[in-house]
Amino acid sequence: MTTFQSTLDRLRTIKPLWWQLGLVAVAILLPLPLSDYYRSVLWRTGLYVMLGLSLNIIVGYAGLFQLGHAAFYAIGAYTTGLLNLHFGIPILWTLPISILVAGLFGFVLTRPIIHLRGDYLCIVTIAFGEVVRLALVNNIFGITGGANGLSGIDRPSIFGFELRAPIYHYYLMLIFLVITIVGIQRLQNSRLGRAWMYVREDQVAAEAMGIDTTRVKLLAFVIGSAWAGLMGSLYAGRITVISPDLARFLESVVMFCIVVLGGTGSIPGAFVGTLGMVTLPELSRPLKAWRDAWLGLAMVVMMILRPEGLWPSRRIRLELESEKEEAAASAATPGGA
Amino acid sequence: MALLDIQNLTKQFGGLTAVDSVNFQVKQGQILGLIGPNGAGKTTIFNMITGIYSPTVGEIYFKDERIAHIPLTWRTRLTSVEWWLGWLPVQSIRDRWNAVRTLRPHEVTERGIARTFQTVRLFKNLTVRENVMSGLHHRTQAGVAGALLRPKAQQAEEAQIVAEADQHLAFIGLAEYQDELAKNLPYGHQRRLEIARALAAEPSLLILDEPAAGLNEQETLELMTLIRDIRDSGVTVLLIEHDMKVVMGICEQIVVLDYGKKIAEGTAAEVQSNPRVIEAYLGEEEV
Repeated sequence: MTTFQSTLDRLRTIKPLWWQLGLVAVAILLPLPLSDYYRSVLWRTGLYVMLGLSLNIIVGYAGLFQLGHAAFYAIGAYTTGLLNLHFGIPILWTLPISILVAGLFGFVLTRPIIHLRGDYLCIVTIAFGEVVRLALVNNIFGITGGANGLSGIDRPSIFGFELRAPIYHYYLMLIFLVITIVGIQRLQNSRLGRAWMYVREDQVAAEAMGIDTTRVKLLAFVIGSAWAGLMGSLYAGRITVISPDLARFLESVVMFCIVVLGGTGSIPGAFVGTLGMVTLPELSRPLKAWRDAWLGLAMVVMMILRPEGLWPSRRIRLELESEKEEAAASAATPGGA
Repeated sequence: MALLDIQNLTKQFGGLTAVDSVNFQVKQGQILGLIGPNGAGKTTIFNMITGIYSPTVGEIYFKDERIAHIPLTWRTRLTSVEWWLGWLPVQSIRDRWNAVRTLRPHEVTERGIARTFQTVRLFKNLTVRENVMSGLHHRTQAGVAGALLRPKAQQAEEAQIVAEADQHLAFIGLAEYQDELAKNLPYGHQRRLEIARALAAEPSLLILDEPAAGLNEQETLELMTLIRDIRDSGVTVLLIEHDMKVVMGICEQIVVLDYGKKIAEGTAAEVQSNPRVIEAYLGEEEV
């Protein structure tokens, strides 16, 4: 365990720009020798990495529970689907609209419950996911197509060139992946990113220092939801058939597990988590059949052996360690702290 | 003119009256000490000033603006035009809404009151400098767009935040620890860091909740000098303290509480000779 950790720490000392460019080069070349099936798997992996990263803003940075993230993914997909089917708007033009719509839903749904803490917030977000899914199943306003969902959505096209083969979708995804990572890193190292850290560390102290905690937490939810909406649109443009299944609870759980398994608040962690939760089960049939079991087992083992995740952010690791120390200290002094 | 004016302040928790009709004023440039036996309601008063609790009865004025009063009921909120329309960018409606609502803790800080806590509440896993930077949050602007696009203005602001944080660290004498994690500092330094963090918010009133608790002799002396320096730099100080040497040494005015009631007010000498204060601290003399 320690050697694994020291390898991670050593990796961090390499000049960032070099290995970042190297990774992008690898990502560009990676699908070329592969078959269409594996290219699709890569596309799916990238999509879930971005979903994981968007959820990470809420769970990792602001330290809030969100177990209904798939709802916003579905809202994005339906926004694109509806705009495209009813108004014939090209897929790429619907992307900014679904970012806005998902962000708006994120705001409206979270504003009344933002003051809830911990497990209470968790329960309400689960309820949201279900509300959105059931609204879609029940063919709300007669436009969502009920349980069958929507089909016959266009594929995205750039200057009249239709993106049909999986590899084009892969590269479209890759562009957004790079934007996501750069954007998230910038958010993390900004005034807003610091405010999230303060709120996560100690909400009362943060408030006393003049941070509007409600606003800051809402921003995390809105940004995270908006970005999940974009992922829904990319999905709709690639698969062309969408159904309320996108908002399933299990889908939210997978996203949550990606974040926790990989390491809360960590960008490489989202990749590791997606590999374990999405890519490996996709590649191996037996693993897929047993995915739910494997998911549960992995979580149990992780929580015992490595609660900070496989590739944790240094900060979250510190926080978990100091929580452990405090627990040990209060256990050592009878009568509590 | 009183900087902070506490009027008829009462706080009840269920059947317990923690603070009972307390009146006092903090004048500009003063160091005022709030003392009393354990459970006298001192910290409750602090929590009402900083907007964490709202009073059951009474009002608090800061710079002639009412910052705390009885919270509005949902019925009054829902039936008031101001509550429904307060978000509109119309100044007259906003002013009317601001006049009736209670302030939240961060808004109190924005108006110029910063505090420290009885038990140190630093951001433990962040560096010393990052802790102090939190105080500058409400005086800076950058939002989502600034973070993502990093325009010149945002970069300049970030540089300014770091520079100002470093100034406050230098003032408090912790500059050499700037990259250390807050939790790794010795206890005395943590207390000072909390004060530096509060000062970074550039308050006109600094509220210290038992700043000398857990400090040794030497550190306590340094703290007294520091508090005087802070006052001399133009910040009014209101403090709760159990260490009588500190209270009698630096406070120009002392308010004594017992069972939520104000029992005495005056200079150190006046308070020390007040029989009710002696009684509260030493118990009634047995005949």
